[in-house]
Amino acid sequence: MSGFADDSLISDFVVESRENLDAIEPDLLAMEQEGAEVSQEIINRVFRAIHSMKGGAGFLAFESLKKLSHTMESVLMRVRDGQMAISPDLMDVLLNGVDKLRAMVDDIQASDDVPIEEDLTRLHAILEEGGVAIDSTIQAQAAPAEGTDEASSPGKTFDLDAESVRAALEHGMRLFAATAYIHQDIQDKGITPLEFLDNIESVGSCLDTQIDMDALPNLEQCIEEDLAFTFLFATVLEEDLVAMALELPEDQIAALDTDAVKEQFIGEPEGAAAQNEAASPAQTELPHMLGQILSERLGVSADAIHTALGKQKQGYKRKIGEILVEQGVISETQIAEALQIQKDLRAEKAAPAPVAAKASSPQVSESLRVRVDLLTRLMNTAGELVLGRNQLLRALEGREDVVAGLAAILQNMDLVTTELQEGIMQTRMQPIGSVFGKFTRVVRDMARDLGKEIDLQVEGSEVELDKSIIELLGDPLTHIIRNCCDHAIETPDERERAGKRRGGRILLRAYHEGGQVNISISDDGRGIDAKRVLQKAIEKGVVQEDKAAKLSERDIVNLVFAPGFSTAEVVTEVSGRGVGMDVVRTNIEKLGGHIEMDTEVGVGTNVLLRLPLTLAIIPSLVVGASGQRFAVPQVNLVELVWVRAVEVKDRIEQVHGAPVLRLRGRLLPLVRLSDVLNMPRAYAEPDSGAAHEDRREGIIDRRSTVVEEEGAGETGAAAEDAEAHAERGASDRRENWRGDYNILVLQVGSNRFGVIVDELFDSEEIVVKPLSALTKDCQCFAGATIMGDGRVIMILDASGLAEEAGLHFSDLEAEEKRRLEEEARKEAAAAAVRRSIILFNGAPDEFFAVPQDKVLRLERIETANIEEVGGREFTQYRGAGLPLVRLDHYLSVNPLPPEASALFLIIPKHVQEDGSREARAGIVVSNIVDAVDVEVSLDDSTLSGPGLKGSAIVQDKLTVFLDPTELTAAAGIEGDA
Amino acid sequence: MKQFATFRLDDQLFGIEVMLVREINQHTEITPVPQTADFVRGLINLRGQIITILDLGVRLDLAAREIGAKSHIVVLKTEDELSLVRAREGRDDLMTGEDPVGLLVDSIGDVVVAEEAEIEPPPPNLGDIDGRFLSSVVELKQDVLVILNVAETIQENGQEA
Repeated sequence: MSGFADDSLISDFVVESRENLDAIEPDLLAMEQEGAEVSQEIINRVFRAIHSMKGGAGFLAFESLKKLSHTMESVLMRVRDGQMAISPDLMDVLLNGVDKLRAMVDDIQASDDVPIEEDLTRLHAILEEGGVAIDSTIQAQAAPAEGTDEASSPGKTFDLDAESVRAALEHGMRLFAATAYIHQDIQDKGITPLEFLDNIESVGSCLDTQIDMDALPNLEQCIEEDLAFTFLFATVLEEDLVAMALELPEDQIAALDTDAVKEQFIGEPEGAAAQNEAASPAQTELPHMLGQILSERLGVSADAIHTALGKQKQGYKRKIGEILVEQGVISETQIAEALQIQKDLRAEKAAPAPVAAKASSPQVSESLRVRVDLLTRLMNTAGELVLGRNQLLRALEGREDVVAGLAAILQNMDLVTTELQEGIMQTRMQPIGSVFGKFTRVVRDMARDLGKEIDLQVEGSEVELDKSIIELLGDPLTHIIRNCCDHAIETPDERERAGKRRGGRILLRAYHEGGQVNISISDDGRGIDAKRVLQKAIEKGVVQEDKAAKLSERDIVNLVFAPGFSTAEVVTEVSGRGVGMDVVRTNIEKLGGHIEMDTEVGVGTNVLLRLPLTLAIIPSLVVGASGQRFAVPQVNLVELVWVRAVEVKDRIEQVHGAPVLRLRGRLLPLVRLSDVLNMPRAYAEPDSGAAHEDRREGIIDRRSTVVEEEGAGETGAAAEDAEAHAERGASDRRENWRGDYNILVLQVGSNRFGVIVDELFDSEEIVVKPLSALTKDCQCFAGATIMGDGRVIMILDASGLAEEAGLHFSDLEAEEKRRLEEEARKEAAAAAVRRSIILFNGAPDEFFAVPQDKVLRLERIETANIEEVGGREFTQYRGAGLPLVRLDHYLSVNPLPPEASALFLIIPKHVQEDGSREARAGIVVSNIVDAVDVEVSLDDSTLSGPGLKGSAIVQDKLTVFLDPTELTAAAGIEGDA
Repeated sequence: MKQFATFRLDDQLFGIEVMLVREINQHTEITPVPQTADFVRGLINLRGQIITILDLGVRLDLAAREIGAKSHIVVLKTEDELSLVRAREGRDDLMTGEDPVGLLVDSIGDVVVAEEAEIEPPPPNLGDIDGRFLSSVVELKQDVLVILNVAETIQENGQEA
């Protein structure tokens, strides 16, 4: 727990720590990626961030936080000094540590409850491996100075690790134990404790900090008596200078016996240490004090600096440079020069081999922290101003001449207002990088867990989106990316076998397109097997089998977003995606966005999200029903359909007792907005605007002149009819516009439905305002908005409307299917031709047909009259020999019954060139069944042979249709026989 | 001593403690919200903020209010706004709702000041009005001032009578 409850101080610390942690993570990941090549600058940045957290935590007495950051710092120090190699394991430990620190910072008051033992154990293990003694505790053996109070008295113990002490001693520093009182030494001087800590760091290095709670009997005294803050401090300065620099009374500073400490920590012979100490201060590497630089490089006298330091002691908040400038000892340019030198020296120290600063280092931009609720309020106020402007413009319309220059003023105001509103909108925009940033870590961790090699590339981090969208985007994106790692990207071995690089790649990219922001997540993994998806979708009942045939491959793959598809075992093996993807889609659609997927088996998958720039303003269409206006978000609106009164019966019909709209072969459920919202149906007179009640019962009940044209047959009750007639008698004003329907086609997921509205107004950009708890229970509305005229209107929610209206999409799908089939049947029927045919038998159970118009005559013959000449059968016909054709000789059919004594001849018609007809051959059949007219379509797919036209069912028998002419031709009887 | 903003529904005089009232206006261009609780009259735009207007008549089981020239909206403070007052005045008994709400009433009366001693507990019910909507009663010279229990009156789930 915090030693003293200064909330603002704690919240400053929290904010600062969060920033530090955010900055650390990418740096750690960079360290891991670049290994030994990593620039010293990055390591130092991490080190400094952790170090400053440690300082703050110590000061505010967050014990766990201090302990963990302290241990991490020790590890980082070894890394920085090249004594410890960067390994993935090491990074695991550090990254976990960062997570723990973040958890602590997030709930700072409960930070001590966060378990850190495991992390400490692992960190210690690493340190021990590197041969570092841990947490050696030394006694601050300072001799109590006169008048010293108990806080800095001997016996004070500090937690130190040998490493930092040794480092300090090697740099020729001395150790001091100092005590500062929160009120007397810090707050009363108008500086915050964090600033005080910064001060310490600027003159030396703070090794450990403590708040002395034990010294106080109780909490009240803590406030009364002024809390003591004790710290162990390493610096090259002499004791009196330390007091001056820290602005502390000398009696609160006690020097430690350096030699004793040295012996304890390093076991180094004193001589060597003495040598070190004897080294000229100018050659010490740390710290590059400004005073030192001024005197050495710019020739400012030591006296002047000393005076300035003395002044600093009184004029607390001034920097030494400022004092010197004030005194005219040096110029501002000199100070700037000195500061630059100091900076360079420190950087040089930090990065012994100068490395060019990486482009990835965070840019410090000129920015302010602003509370979000303030921005929201400003945005509302700006909206208010816009309304005010609109009202003013309307009020002054046409009177611009009354006051000279008024038009110009109004125009200017108009412009400025718009600009202001846009500007405020802009303040809510944030770069998407704040979401993208965390995925490097997610991918890295998953890859390690899964034993895969995955490289995440990020593009377009600078693309901006509204804060509210950014916030809601994290979860869906995480889900998609985790799926990529988990399922899409193969193991290195698998990839190698498939002839790919061992390392998989995920590309996360944001870009603008058409006023929207697109985010694409593509991988080069195994892709998704559409067949398996379809199979599963059918099994899960997500899609009907018969419908499935019509789906494109892309449609099929996108089935993974369908609700009910999402179970882990579904596609994990084959392809991977599908785990809770419906949730992802729902979330994206909630944002007014859209998601779709493209995939190629073995090559990879691409998921594309389309998002609006902002949620606060949405394009919408304003419509009217029952004399009230409503806004329909364009994102739900597919199209507008205008059904004129005369078309109503063709385009609107009843299915299962509910009206549906036929739209390009699809059946859309149709509702009236007034009915769904339970408002009296009314229509407004186009001229007068007067509202009238609309008495039409059903949607296809058209009580208008059009009905009369069609004659009687109206469905309404007789009484109502009479009334309606009376009304029509009074005035005929309602015709034409009256029977027309304006239909909004709305889309919810994959379902579409039609909503009849009375009026259509303009498209408008509207600002969504949430509904209060009192009005939330109507699911039909997504919110409310304020129009340009100051009126409130409701925003319709498409899915809520569909639900409220109780639409049955599945019924209609079945009906749609039935109709398609019927249509197919009708089409087939249309292809059928009316034919006059002669039905006959070959073998007694085989039925054949020939067209009557191709037959010249039918004859009955006796079997005995058949003669055979030269392998061909003949019979006498009108005094000539007529060649006979038997079907079984040319087609795969059974022969005629041999025992039959009488047979029939079908003599095909042969038309001569002069138009006369003659008999050339006779087809021998066993029986003539009938001569009939039939309307059939021939199935020509199953049979083939000379003269065969196809088959059809005639009089319940499967009948083979023949072309007799072709048949005889095939029999070789063509010319003159 | 307490101060009450007073108003009438039909002939009955009602009051709400002034500390609970944000403002009173005649902003009666109310947008109805279909398919919601019957006592929700609709929404108004109050300088950019959307306020839910309750028909106090329906709420108290009287008739729905007709909007006329004297109709007024009594806009109540939200819990957020009230918390300041509560802290300043030390009045933990003051309660309202989270969302901005206004009450549609027939006409507005004067502010009535009453001593604690004059404020009496309410009857179990008052005509058709359910006792849970009532907080207390003050006898005036010519009238009986009925003080409403605001938190109960504007609660969304208290629709059933």
